[in-house]
Amino acid sequence: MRFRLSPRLALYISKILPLLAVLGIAFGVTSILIVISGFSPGEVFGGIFSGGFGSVYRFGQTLNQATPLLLCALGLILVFRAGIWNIGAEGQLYMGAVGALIAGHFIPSIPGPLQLLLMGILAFIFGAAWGVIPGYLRARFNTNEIITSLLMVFIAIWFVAYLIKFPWRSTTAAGFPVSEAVWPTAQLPIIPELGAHAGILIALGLAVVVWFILQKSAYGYRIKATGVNPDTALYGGISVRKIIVTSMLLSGGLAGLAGMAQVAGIFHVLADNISVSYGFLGIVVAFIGRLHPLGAVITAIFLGGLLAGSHYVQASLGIDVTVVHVLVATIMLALVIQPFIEQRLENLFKLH
Amino acid sequence: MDFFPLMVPVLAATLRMSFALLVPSLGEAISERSGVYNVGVEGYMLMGAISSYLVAVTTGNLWLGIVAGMLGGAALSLVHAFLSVTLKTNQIISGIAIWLFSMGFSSFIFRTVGITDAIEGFAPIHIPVLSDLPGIGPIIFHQNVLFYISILLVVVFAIIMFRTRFGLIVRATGENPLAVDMAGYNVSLIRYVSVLICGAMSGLGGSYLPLAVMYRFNENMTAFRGFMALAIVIFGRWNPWGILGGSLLFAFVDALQIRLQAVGVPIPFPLLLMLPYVVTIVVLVGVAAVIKRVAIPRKLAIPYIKGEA
Amino acid sequence: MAPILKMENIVKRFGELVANDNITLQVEEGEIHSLLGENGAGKTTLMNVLYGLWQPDEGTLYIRGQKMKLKSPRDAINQKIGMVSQHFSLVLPLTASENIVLGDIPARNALIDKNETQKRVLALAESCGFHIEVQAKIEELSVGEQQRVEILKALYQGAEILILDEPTAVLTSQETKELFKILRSMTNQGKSIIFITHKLREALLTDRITILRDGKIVSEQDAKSATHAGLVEAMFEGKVSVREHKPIAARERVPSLEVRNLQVKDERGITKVKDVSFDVLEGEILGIAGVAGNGQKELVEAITGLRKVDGGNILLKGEDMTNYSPKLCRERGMAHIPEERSKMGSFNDLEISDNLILGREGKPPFIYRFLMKLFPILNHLPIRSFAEKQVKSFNVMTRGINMLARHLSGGNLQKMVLARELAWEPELIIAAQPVRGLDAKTVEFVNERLSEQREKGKATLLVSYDLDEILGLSDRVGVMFEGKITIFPHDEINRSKIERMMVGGGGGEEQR
Repeated sequence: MRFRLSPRLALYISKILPLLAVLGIAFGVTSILIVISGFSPGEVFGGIFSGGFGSVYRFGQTLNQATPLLLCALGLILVFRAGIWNIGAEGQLYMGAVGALIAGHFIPSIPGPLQLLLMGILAFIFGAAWGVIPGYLRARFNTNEIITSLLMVFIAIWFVAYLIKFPWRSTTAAGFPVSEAVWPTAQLPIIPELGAHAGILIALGLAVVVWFILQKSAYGYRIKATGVNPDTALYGGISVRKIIVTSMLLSGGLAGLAGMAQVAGIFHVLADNISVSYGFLGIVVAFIGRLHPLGAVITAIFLGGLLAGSHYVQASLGIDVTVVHVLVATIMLALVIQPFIEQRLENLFKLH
Repeated sequence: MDFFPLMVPVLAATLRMSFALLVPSLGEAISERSGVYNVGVEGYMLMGAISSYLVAVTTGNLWLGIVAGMLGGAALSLVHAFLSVTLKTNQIISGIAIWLFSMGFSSFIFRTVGITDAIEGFAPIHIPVLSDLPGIGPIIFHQNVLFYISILLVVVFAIIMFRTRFGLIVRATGENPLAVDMAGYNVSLIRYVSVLICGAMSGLGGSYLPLAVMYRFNENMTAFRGFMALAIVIFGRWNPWGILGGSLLFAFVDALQIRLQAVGVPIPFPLLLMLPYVVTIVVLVGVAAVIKRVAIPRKLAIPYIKGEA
Repeated sequence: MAPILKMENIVKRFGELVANDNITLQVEEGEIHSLLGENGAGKTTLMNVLYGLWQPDEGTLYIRGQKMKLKSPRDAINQKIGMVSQHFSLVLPLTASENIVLGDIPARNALIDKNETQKRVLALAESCGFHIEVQAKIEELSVGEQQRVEILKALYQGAEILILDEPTAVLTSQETKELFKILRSMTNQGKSIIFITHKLREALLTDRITILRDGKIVSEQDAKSATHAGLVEAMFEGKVSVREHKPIAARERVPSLEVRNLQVKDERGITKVKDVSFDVLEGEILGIAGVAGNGQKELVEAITGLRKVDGGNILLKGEDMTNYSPKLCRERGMAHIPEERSKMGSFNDLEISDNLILGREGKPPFIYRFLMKLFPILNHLPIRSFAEKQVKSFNVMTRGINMLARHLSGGNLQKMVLARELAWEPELIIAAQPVRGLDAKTVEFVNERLSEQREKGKATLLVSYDLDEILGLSDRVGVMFEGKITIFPHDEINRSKIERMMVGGGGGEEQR
């Protein structure tokens, strides 16, 4: 079936229509739920928006949410571009948090910037080590990295649970088991006015670095080449195995830094709730950001705003937070589907 | 510490908790055999849990609840089937998105409906003579009826997978959908059916938790069992009997650590909980290194485009 | 008696190429009918039309006297036509019998009737006179056995007309003998077989031979009365070399590439390159002629580092580089113009400039000298100017170097590949099917560039299925047939001899 339309019009339709359609469905479905809850969609959506972006302080909270999202997404961009499916970012995040705690608590207190640097390095190393294992298994034995990286998420979560309930259990904190706190010098400074911790700056800086790697370095070229066509890459002399292993290493390391951000920036202890599936959400962020660092920044801030706004709306309106979770997930689902619908429409109009 | 008094309750608990791992894994195995990967099994289970709870609590009929749970899981899996088979999207991403959605949605339904009553769920049944046997009596013959159904399901799935036409065609679909297409079958239909079976089974597994374990609904009560199911499918090499073994292993470790905690034994339980996952990875790698080929369906998670190999 | 199959005046075009030009083919019931011709003659196209994979632009199909339109392989199967192609459509982890009965599985009480399945499959195999392990999994069977499973599968679906596309390409000579026995017993039961081949001796074992050349039927012969010479003449008659190249007289020259006793297996474990030895000298083009499937692909892959070598050595300028990675091969000065310019030779979804720097992306001038060893950073200015320079000097018609490679036409894509591979003065060029599917102008361009390399004293190994191209460019010519290579020195290049050897006609002796 072919439609005869002017090419321009067809292009607009095939790009914009799916986006509007799926977003419309997402908002529509969520609106129904909102109405069922006894609220009006307008005040809820408005509340979420204002909760995430309505004041400088709230925007700071948004940035706090965006930081681990962005860091995970950046690593995933590298690895997804190479065609490797790392879905273990959540586990790499937790292991990075372990490394951060070691540098932030077990190493004696040293001047702030130095201690934070050490935390970052150790967090990166721990996360990278966690990521390189599925990568190596894939490169050497061709085991499916989707499955191995996912399994290692649970190993990491239980490992952290072990640490904070047994050897590293805090003797002072009451209530839920957590580790001892990190030194005051091991806490990320807060940006004045914004109220966000400095992690966002690190994340934004790394976004530039990842962009640079992808766009401007020979290594980034090799990553993209491997992802586009591994046969041609091999033919051209690229060591595909090396790319698999190193990209998983970097991806794990960046997710590890997300763990460090949570420990050093927000919680100041190691706990088992430092991540609300940031590793998994990071996958969705990377994908919606079209595997581009700038896209990831925008999407991370957007999603961070939704998450922060959901807390606000829960407190101020009394609406149940789950509605917002549904909204977030539906939007994510919608945006995930959108490129595929776009492609189908393009085929329909026989565009290229 | 006496072994016997320790192991009997642990083994009994193992069998009791195996349902919620075993049944979703069976369903996922069929789906993966046909070539579709359901990262969102956890989500199907959650939908099953909330649907079954609400229906059971309002109608007072547990079996209606079971049916509702299966329908709930199947409905969500239908979305995934549409995305994966018809739209041919990336199955991993859509699976994760569906899981995230159902986490929020199941909690939303729970809070909005507002019912929190406990229910009289499935209780262990007493079989004359058998239940009173020393040792194995309380372990094997004193379980609720659903447990026995799950064992039956293992047999049923084994028969379906390896002895029926449908099973043969499903197995072929995950390996070489082109050959199945050329043989005159509808690959999309086969995959839709397989995914729906996975959804229904996962919903059934999710229903077990409110109806036979906690006798109420708690948010996110599935506690990542859906992801364990993904691991169990690999551990069991996509074979119902292997999956039974894997489910028992995971359930055993879970039951053991609960018991040890209760008794006060200072073995760090999280380390125990890690064990099944480590073992699975080792198995995966060991098999790949030795046999050079894991039994993973060749075309798993790869959409079928008509006419292409 | 009316023929069981008649393809009348079939025309099939692909763009400007007429793959089947007014072909009329008649197959009698109970005969083995071979389609003989070299690559590009149109044999596979014709059979794809018969099997419903492609619709003819013109012409009619008569099956058992009835006019038929076959819109898909399903239609063909319903008309009792079966095809065994070179790429099997078998499900590897299932057993042979499961694969055979997949289209119609015997069942009793909702369960698969294993006894009935076994009975039917064994009966079928027996009727053809061979024995297979029905319970064995496909992945455990040899390729010859897998082929038999494919044949049984086609028969199980009721095929009375069976098409076999180059079936002996994957068989040993013993298995080939057995295959013919099987085919004979099938025809004794009234089945009809169409046998696509490029090998003379096989065509002579059939009943009737139809010879195709350049999309047309040039001859139909009874196999009993056909001769080697007669067949070769029909296959190649009237072909004149496009460019007569005067081979350079032999003089003392250093070998650039030395291949010694090379053995290479393909991914199925079949030895495709059998104890091959040859040299490529500096300043020459050595052309290897032959029909596809005789080991050329594996030979090229072994030399360029894309496939493991099972025996023997490869030396480049005296250095043993057997099993070197593609990266090392390139570093030692080897360029590779691959057979699949789109699937392997380029990145469809990357820009032309990105395509052009493949292989040297981490080296100057494409990177900043600063931090060169530690962290190569691409320097886009030299990349751009290099890309523009190459695009210009290699005549690549494009809107710009930022265009994606997938938008290039075949000819321009190949010129781009050449622009990349020839940019750095390679010592040795491996060119596989460099002008396949290209228009005349581009063919000329490519040939000129390859000649240029020879003038510069470089060595080139040219592997091609197009004899014209080989003869037009090469100084020495070799023929590859069934894994072995025979080299003709430059003054003994005899076209008809080469043609004979390409189809297994032996080195000049009449065999009939």
